[in-house]
Amino acid sequence: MKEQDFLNGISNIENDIIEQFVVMDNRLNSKVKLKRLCKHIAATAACFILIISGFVVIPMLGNKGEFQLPTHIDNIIWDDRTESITDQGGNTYLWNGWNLDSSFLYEKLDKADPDQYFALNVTKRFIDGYVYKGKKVSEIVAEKDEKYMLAEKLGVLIKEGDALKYGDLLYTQGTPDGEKWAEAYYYERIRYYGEDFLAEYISGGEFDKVKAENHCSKANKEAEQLTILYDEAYKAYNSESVKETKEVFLNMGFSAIVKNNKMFVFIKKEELANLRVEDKASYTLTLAKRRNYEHVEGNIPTFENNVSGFALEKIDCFVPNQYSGVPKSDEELINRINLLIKTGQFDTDRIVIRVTSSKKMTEDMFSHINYESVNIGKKYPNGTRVSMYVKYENINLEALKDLSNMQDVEHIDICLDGYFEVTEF
Amino acid sequence: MKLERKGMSDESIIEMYWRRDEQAIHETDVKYKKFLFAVAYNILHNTGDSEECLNDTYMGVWNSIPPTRPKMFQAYLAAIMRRIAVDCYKSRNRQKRVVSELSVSLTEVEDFITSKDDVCSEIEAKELGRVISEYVRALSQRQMYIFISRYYFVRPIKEISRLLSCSESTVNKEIVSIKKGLKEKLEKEGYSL
Repeated sequence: MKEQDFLNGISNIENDIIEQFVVMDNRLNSKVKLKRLCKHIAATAACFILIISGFVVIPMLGNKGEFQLPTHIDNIIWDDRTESITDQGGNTYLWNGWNLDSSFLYEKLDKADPDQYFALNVTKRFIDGYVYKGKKVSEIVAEKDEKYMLAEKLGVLIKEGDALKYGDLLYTQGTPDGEKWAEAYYYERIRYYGEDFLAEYISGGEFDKVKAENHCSKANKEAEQLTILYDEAYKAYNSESVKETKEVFLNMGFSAIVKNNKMFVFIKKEELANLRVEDKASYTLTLAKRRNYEHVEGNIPTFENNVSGFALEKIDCFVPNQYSGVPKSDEELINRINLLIKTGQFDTDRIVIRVTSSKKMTEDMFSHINYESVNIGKKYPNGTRVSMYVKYENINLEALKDLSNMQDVEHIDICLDGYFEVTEF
Repeated sequence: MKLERKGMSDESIIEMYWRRDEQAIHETDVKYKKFLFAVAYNILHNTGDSEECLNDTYMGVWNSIPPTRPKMFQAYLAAIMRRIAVDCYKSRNRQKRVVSELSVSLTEVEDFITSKDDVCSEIEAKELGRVISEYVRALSQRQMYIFISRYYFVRPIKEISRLLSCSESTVNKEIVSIKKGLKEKLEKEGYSL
């Protein structure tokens, strides 16, 4: 190729690329200028203070180079939903090649003004090839599934072993207890277990149930340990990938930061649409919650186990992905409330207490609950359903106990604000 | 604090060109002179020539709007300025080798270039532009930025590293990798290098 050919070829680079370049260039230039300006202001301020304070050293320059939002925090689009935190079914939605975790974000992107910034959490797909404690994630998953399948198989064998030990008799004459299987079903079960597997637990017409139970318990424990290992691997991967993802966006000149183990990027709709990133399909975008960005971890109350006498049979406390159902003791209920708050601390600052009563109730009956807002269902045919939104720090366990013991109160659900669809009363 | 580019909005300036209002050139100059001058100066390394290119660019814009209505005014100006500056570089280079950032950047791609004769036609240049564009589109945003900075706008490595807040050696490493990819792409498309 000739020098001029190369020059001419470069001159003929298509317009859209140059346009994209100019957008990025302006952004990077602004960032550099802003940095310079911040340094200048910080330096000027430091000098000024140094002079008026009679050369007393004040650490004013400590903040220089800190992360800055591209606009005022109130002008950014956040996930402000309270009705539902996640879309049902775990669907993803494709928008300009990006995976979005919700139709809500899709609609917001669709309708946003070009000048508005979006606060997005960007996560990278968990990769099978990631190695944790010497094992690939794919190996951990395969081993975990194998153990669970073994435990399941043994669990069924524990139930069927006493019948299967009779072999052909089971479908020809039946067992001494009178149990008789269809021949086809018998052979289907043999195929399911496999002859070698069965031979390990049934031999000489005897079923070694204790051995099967021990092996089943062992397989279950191993599967649980592998599940824990998988969760640890996921956390380790997530912790690494948020930092890497942040660098990807920072290098392209966007405002990006990691907070509460989540990566936040602040970006306009058009910028996002035109952005080209390697392995784009591996990222998922979520509209960030402002609380997630602003909340400081650990800044939540923990309740002591010093209240007793709850009417436990009336109370359900739903901790996402962990507990639901009636707690067995006062201590368990308080522990669940603490865990509920810990789980939800980055998404919301309040819980919902839903009360069902057999009689009509009024707001003043709940005044001790210290709620932020209350919604008394008017369409409920018999009695009342009340939803109270209570900030973590205002939860009053004594008042909750008294509420549970009210004669007309039939049931109380406690959950995080936003974790359940609001029921139409 | 939001840093705004001084001057009128691009839409308003374009409207002035459409109304044949000569103030449009003044507004373009206020808003983009520094940017355009830098584009020319990186290629020519000569203040007088760069100023002349700047004037030619304004004239080029005046003559092309209307009928053109650029989608992005700054990119449109940059493309005109670059073409004029490269033409100027070529005409000066015919007399003697001009030392500029462009000549430095061209030495980086010497392995693509065999000689200076037998220049291909405009159509072939467009096709080459399409092939290079295809390659650039497949790059990451950051690599695209480096490539266009270096070979289209002929920016010094130091300037690119400053904007990307990384070291010069990092930019150099990226350039080596981008060049390797481009060479492969061109060979695959049948260009003899």
